[in-house]
Amino acid sequence: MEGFGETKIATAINGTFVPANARDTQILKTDDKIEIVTPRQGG
Amino acid sequence: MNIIDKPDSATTAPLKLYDQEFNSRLLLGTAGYPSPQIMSAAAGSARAEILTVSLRRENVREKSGQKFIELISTLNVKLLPNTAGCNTVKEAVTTAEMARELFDTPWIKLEVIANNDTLQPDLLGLLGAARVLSRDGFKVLPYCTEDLSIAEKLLEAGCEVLMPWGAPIGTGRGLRNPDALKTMRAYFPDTPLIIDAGLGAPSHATQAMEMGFDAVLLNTAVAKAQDPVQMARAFADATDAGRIAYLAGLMEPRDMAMPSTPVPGTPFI
Repeated sequence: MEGFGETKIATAINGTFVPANARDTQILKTDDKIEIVTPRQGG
Repeated sequence: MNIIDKPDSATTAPLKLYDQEFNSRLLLGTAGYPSPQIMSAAAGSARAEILTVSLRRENVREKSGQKFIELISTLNVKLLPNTAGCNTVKEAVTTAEMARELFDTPWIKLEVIANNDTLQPDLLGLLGAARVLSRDGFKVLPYCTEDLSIAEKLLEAGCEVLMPWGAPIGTGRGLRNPDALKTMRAYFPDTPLIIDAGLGAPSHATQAMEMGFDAVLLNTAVAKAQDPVQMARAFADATDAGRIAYLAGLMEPRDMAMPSTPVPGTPFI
């Protein structure tokens, strides 16, 4: 994904998971809420 | 089989969670350490074989996610992603799906939180998310309370492990309701039960293991100790001690005193 280089990310649009292999064909609409997450510390 | 003849393997029988076996009964969190290096060293001295992780928004410039994953993959342990911060079924399910892809594992520590002061599990949301995720092939480890009714339903939904709290997350107060935990242990004798949240001192871990719990999961107790690396070691030893004690069979407590030194032959009577 643009800007993230090799970083492993996962994505969701409007609260619904979008798998990596679906990103290329995913069409974004105005006001879509996009989440991009990566691994992080956690308890 | 005679108790005396119980094979040594009984004391070293592994922890079985879903389809995997582990020698360590201490699961450790990776958050809140003074540095990534200390976190890594603590994981080592804890002898942990499972570390919990999370997903968070990435900063394109910092690439902290990349650094974290690089460090953690050198530890050669099983990563257990969590759904920390989720308040609804949808949030938890989507987080779990993202985690499955990101960490390449169907294992998920499922947290659905009702209240930001107590961080207590939202039992209804937890059950709803557990049902959806189990159906979708996830191996769910639900963070729950001592409520037996929800526990039964979580097992019916497909969970094969339960993780009841000791005390609210991060409070370090130990087992606040040991009677209810004892009851839960008795009600689900064949289910792996992991005390998760609120432990503060190694003695809390020993107490949990002496009660027959299968493992403990903690983060703050180690990360916020003065010396996390030594504290991790203390917790590992404490967890082992509790497990050995449980299998060795604790003595029956008494109300009245009884001398340990033999009475016959006492001089000067």
